[in-house]
Amino acid sequence: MNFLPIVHREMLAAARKPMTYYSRSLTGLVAFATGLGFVFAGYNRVMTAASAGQVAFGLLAVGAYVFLAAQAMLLTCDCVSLEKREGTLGLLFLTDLNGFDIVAGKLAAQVSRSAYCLLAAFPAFGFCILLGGVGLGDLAVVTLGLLNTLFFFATLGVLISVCVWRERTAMGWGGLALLALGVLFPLLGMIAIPGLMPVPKFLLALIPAGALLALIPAAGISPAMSLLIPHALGWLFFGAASWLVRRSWIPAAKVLPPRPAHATRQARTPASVPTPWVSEPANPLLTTALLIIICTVGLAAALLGPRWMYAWAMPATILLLHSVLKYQAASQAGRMLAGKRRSGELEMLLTTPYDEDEILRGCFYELIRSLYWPTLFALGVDLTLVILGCWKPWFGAGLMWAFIVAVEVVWLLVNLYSLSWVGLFQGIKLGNPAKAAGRAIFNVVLLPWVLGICFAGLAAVLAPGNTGPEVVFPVAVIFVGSLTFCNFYFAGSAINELRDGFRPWAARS
Amino acid sequence: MKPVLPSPAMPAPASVDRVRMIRRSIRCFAFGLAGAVPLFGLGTAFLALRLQRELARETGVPARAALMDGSAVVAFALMLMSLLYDQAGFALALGFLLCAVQGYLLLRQYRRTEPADWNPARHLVYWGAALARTGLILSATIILAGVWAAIRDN
Repeated sequence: MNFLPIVHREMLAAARKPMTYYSRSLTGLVAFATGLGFVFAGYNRVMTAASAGQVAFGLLAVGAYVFLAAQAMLLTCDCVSLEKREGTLGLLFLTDLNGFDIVAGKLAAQVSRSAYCLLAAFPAFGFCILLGGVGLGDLAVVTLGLLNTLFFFATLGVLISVCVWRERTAMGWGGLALLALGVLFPLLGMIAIPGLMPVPKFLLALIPAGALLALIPAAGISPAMSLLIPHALGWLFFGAASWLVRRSWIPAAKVLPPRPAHATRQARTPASVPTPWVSEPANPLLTTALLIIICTVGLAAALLGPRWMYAWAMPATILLLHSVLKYQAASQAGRMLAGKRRSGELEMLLTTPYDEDEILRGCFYELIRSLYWPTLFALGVDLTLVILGCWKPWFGAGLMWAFIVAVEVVWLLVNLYSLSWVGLFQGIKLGNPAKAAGRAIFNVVLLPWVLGICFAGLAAVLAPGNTGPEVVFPVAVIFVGSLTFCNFYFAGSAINELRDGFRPWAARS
Repeated sequence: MKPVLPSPAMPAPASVDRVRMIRRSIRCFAFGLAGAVPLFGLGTAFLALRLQRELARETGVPARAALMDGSAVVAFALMLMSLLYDQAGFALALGFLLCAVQGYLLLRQYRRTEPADWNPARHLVYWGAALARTGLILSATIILAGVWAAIRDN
């Protein structure tokens, strides 16, 4: 038998997917535009060359970190559990394959695209060295740190996937791990480095972001340790997943809990909406818990923290709350029809008197039900922070702050609407909840930023050294245009496809 | 045994789902209405035009978009030229003229073409397309004017 046969097969399959090439080109383009923009800013004395290099380097590193961590976790957290639910994992064990082969294959399949994207973005880091302020050593640490991030979160995702059966549980644990280890820990580290909070610094060496934080001179973290420990943890997760995958495979009927009865909920829903048969029962407990944690930390920092923390805590709390809600909307919508399509339940449902409009209405009803209270809670927190912002005397333009929050709230509602439709469509199209959620988030939330960065880079090339309103205004107009374009185009397209082609999509095996 | 005469070919099944067609026409109008808003309606304007093309293909209307697209390209080239010569008013006038020309061409197409399959909501498709094109022209004019202002002041 070949060495790592599944890895070989998955790499060949990935090489034939157009998305592998598109995503790589797009990432390279965004990184190139960002780097080029700062090169022009540096050489035209908008800022000093060294500071332009440092800012560009920091932006690229943080952007790549967020992208890699999120993509690795989203793509891997349901990859083995999906096989378990479909009953195909057992078939693999009828061959000579062992747990190591399967986990390595899954890892290679899910991670290869992200690794290619990272490779495509690396040349942009070279611009920063050209500008100065960044050394080759920094570049080496960040490169290894980013590769470590990819490996750490991908192996953790596979481990989660091996341990659970249901997609909702997998995505819930994946999201929680990402938020805790990928966002909250690094944020705590950034607060701890100036010595404002008594957080033991060795804890930062346990997470992959520690390598990036180690570049801050005041951090006092050893770059070698912050690279080695997360890498070792990644191999530990990999080993645990390889060992567990053979043992966790048991017939689904013995493990899956029975579907909860929906009789009480059906009594509350309109008679024409087939909610219980259409959708997974929504459980907003995890989202609510996350929202409460973020809101408590944010409010505590805003009320008790020093002045600089107050100014950062309020926008960060609002953005984090909204991001959790957006993720929840995309993942909930993505898994609503995906599993039903794969198992053929959707096709059977269409043989009943319910038509596609009623099924879609049922899905939307369920989505609104699951997001109603979390959204209200987030809006309540937004309102509290607006009042706090206007009340604090030094916060200057309170009205401006209220206006910005109002725009962000409107944008959240528009995004939730678009993500719901796009998630539903991608779910029925791809049949994979994690991929559906990822693609919905990319199309609706991330793509406008990609376009905005590209236009900003173009503006920096066309009007070098000019930061006046005559340059900022067109870029802002184009950015707003791309934001609205991506939201409404993809939402409208999803509505169109779902209403016209629901039956053909549902009938796909 | 080979038959002497060729067997008569079965007529192609011309089953058009009229309910679906009417719904798509109404959706085209709704998208076009939203697309008439400059900048914010860019996405839905493209969707309305896509739906119009698909409906035309479904109902057997010959596609005659070349004249409209050609006039748009010529008008935008003229607009760009006039902006380069600091004639912003002329560019704006060209934008309005282009809207009128596109509206006239659509009206002419609506009156002169007869679809192979009857679509009772055909007028809505044309209204949607007209609104979407208006929105696209306005958005393009605003973006062009913004870019021109940036280049001129630099």
